[in-house]
Amino acid sequence: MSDYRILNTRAPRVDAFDKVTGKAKYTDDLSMPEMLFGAILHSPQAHARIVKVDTTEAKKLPGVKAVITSEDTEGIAFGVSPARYDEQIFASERVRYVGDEIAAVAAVTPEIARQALDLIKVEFEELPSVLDAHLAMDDEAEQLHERYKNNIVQQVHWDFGDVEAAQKEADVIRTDELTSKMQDAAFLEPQSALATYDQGYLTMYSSTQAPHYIQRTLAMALSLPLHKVRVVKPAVGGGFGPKAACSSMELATCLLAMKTGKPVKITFDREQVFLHSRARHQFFHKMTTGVRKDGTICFLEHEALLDGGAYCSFGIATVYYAGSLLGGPYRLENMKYDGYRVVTNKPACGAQRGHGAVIARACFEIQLDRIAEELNMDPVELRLKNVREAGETTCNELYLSSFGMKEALEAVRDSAAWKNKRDDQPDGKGIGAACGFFVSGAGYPIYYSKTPHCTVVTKLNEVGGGVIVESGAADIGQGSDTMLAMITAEVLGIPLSDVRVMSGDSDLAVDLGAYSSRTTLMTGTAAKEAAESVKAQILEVIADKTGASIDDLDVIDGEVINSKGDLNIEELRHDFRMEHRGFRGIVKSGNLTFNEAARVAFIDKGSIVGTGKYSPPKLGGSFKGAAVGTSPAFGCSAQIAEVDVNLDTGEVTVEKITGAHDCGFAINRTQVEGQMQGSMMMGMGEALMEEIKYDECGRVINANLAEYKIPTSLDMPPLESIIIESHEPNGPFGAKEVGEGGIMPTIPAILNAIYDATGVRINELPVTPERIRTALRKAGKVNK
Amino acid sequence: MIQFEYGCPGSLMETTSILRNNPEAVLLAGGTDILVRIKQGMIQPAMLVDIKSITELHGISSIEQNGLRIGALTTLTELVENDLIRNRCPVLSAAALSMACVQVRNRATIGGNVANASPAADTVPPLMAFDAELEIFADEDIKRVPIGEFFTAPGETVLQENEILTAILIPDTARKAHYIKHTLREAMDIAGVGVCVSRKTQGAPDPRVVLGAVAPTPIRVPAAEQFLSEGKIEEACAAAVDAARPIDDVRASASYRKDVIYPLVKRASYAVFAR
Ligand SMILES: Cc1cc2nc3c(=O)[nH]c(=O)nc-3n(C[C@H](O)[C@H](O)[C@H](O)COP(=O)(O)OP(=O)(O)OC[C@H]3O[C@@H](n4cnc5c(N)ncnc54)[C@H](O)[C@@H]3O)c2cc1C
Repeated sequence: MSDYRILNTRAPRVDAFDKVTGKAKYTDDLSMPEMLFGAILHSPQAHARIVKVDTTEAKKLPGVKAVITSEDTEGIAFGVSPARYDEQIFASERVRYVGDEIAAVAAVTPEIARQALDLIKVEFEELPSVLDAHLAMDDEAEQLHERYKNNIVQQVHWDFGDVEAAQKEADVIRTDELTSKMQDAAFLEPQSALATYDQGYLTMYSSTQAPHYIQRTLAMALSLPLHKVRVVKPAVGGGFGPKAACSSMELATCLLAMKTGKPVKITFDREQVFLHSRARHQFFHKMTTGVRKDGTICFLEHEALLDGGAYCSFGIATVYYAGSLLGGPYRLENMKYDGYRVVTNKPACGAQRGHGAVIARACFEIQLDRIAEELNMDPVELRLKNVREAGETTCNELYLSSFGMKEALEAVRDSAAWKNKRDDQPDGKGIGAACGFFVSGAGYPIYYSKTPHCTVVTKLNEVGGGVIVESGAADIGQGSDTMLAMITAEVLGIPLSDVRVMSGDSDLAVDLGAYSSRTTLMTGTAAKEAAESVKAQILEVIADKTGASIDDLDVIDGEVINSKGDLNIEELRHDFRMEHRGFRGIVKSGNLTFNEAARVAFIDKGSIVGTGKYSPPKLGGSFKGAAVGTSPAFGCSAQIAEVDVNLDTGEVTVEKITGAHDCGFAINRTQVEGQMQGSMMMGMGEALMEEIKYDECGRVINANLAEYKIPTSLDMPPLESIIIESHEPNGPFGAKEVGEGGIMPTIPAILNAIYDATGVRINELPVTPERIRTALRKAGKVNK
Repeated sequence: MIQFEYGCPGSLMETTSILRNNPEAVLLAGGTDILVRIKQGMIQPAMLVDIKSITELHGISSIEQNGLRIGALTTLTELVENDLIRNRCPVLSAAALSMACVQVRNRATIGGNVANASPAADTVPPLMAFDAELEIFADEDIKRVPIGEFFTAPGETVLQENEILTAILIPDTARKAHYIKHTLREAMDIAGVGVCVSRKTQGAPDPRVVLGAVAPTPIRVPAAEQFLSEGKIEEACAAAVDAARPIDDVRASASYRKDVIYPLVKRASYAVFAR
């Protein structure tokens, strides 16, 4: 058991009641007087020149208040990485995917807005579309953007250590490939935005993961002073990455509000969620790995091609992550990486849980199993032989300040009875293991800046007792508000119910947002600092008033305690009681309460505010792209999956997943397990079901949650979640990430188990029953 | 705003007269098929005629010796929970339980599932495997149509514009049956292939082999039934594969559908013929 009273417990989430009772307000629940409804016209063509956009008829429709096109946007370019601003609010000359935005309408009802869209006439001149990432790089291929030669947005060429020399040392060298499909993040809440423009101030309510980035993009694209743009994040029903970037829809909502002077709301339907996408790229990985007979990994040569759809979005970071995060968790001193991120005429891809690294990890972990088989070695043993420990630095200069990889792998091995099950399984049953590695917060913001990554302002309630934590952090369902409340309550020694968290509002504080698994480590550190400051300010006054030494004072369970004996509080208490005539429940005896102390401190000093910030130390090497993959800490995880494969139909039943994750220290044990389980569920879907399907014209044919399949609760097997705590020195109370790292081992663990069950290797995700049957047939394992 | 007229007749007679006067009208039961299609813009009916207030269409009762009369408005949840169904025709409960999710099952009706005439409709293979008959109200009269003669094409049936499906009759439930719905996931999924095999519990087995989602309508496979009655399971499976005419769609390829018919018919046959 820990010494903490609040941390490391299973305290209920601070938003649980509102979420469960339906009281929580999401963006689409918001309404304002005179609010207009917006709608967006999407391109029906994958690739075409826009000859003419005629909005005359649409503007005439009664109830329509504004129709806007690229003519209203002054050719503004925006995007995610400032070096690749390749998006426009509305396409002006060409559309680049089925779904590209062409115009937007604001009207008095959603129906009229949609009707107006039908009245907008667009004349296209069709262009050849590029739907295949490999063909996109051909010299003859149609070029989507002038700036991207051969349709390549970004390439990476890294060579760490000495791969050539290492090749000579290797006894076994294998080359393997893995291909995935574009995915959808399948969050429950479709994107929604509501904008108001009043006396030069723009306020945007949006279902975003990153209010700060949205604020910056809006100010830049709409030429508004940054301080006059406020972005507020109401309750958000999941993000997983695609909600981290500012979208055309958000910008269009603002433009319509500015143009009409009325509040305007736009909410995507599910099809639009799929068209807008910004979810997981399609990856093509090829890896060559060499090991010595004893299992020591000598080198990795890695080629990756990423199909990112029509625009860059987070693509630069994605292609860097795909290479850099193979630097851990194993001792791999020689690593070569050649990565390419291309554009094609499909919905743009961006970041999704495990950004860039998930499929690369899957490919590598599957390959390790194949190598283990060639070496006749237990795959868990092979991994244990190579895992790094705390204090080591990877070949690409990632420093592992804490690292419970070995503990995690041993924990799942033992808990899942790996040895027995591995040796002794009937045909069709299989068990597989894999590890994972992920950042605990990106070391650098997405735009060049020395800004703190977050600030927290904690204010003592002036009337005495209770604090308000003000933060820009985005709780998108992962529970960061609860984390902030728990840290604050722990530091101040007060009950959780006395802490109120206000967050997700760019007016409150700066926070880069909910991505790269950064919030607990970074915003948690800032919250701790802010609370410590508040506490010090209060105790200073109490020390002064009572004559005690501040070093002897502490707040425990809501009471001020003097470790050196009694406190002289008579006079303080007298004043407090006099102030509260008629109030009930005022303490008469015993220790000075936090409420009393807070009031005394306020009377003495005025408002008591503590602030905290987090700025990472300088991280990473000096090679090109070294910034991506750097982090103040790294999480790691191991999982074992057990499957039952029906060899006749190819159906896979995942029977159990045992996972262990090193989160440094569990601020809230239930939430850590929740993130682990959510990751396993998402990974399972990606391994077995999830795939965006296109027709030959580049249209998504399964743009709904009926035909884009994710696991339901009935598909989920028992999940065992083992928490490993390695006490991260750079995290608050030793905490680091659990949000994304947990997805890393799931896909390869399941695929390795499927191989164990079937004896066939499948190099294409998702591993559907059909692909299993095809592989079995190829291997001559199908009678008939 | 999608607009249509809404009628809520209280009797079958009233319904047919509304239908006669409004050729564009469409019947509305649970609405879980029709409303989805309206919202997707696939159909724009001028009028929806809600039949839920017609009492004759509700209720599950025993007929003849061990037969069942299942009112067209019986919900899938009722099929799952009703004791008469569970005792006499458990395969229908199982098929209903495999459908959609709790919320949809609470609204969706068996009549709607049959009348909608999807090749993948889950209640149909079990009903065909029990030689069900459909009770239809037509021209102020009631007629009976064997379910095997009801479907003509995807979404098409022999039902005329002013006819109403009133009930599904299973004259004899003395059969053992097994339905397999082949899907990628455990809930909220439409059959890629559906297989139902049944046999009489007494006397000669007189088996039925019904396939769903592999032809324009659910189909019986007489050749497979013949083999099964001779105890030739492998041959029956092969005959079922031969009879199937699946297509490629977003859920599965035609070749994969063909591929799994064999093992599924085999599994269903063993389940039914095992002692
Ligand atoms: C999320 C979801 C999941 C689904 N999953 C499945 C599934 O797993 N398996 C499956 O088979 N189906 C599934 N369906 C389809 C649907 O739920 C079923 O077909 C359901 O049984 C239809 O019944 P209903 O009462 O809702 O029909 P309605 O939508 O009311 O009607 C369907 C059609 O039948 C006609 N009709 C209805 N009743 C009568 C009558 N008495 N006489 C004449 N015509 C009539 C209507 O005019 C309409 O054309 C699903 C639907 C949804 C939305």
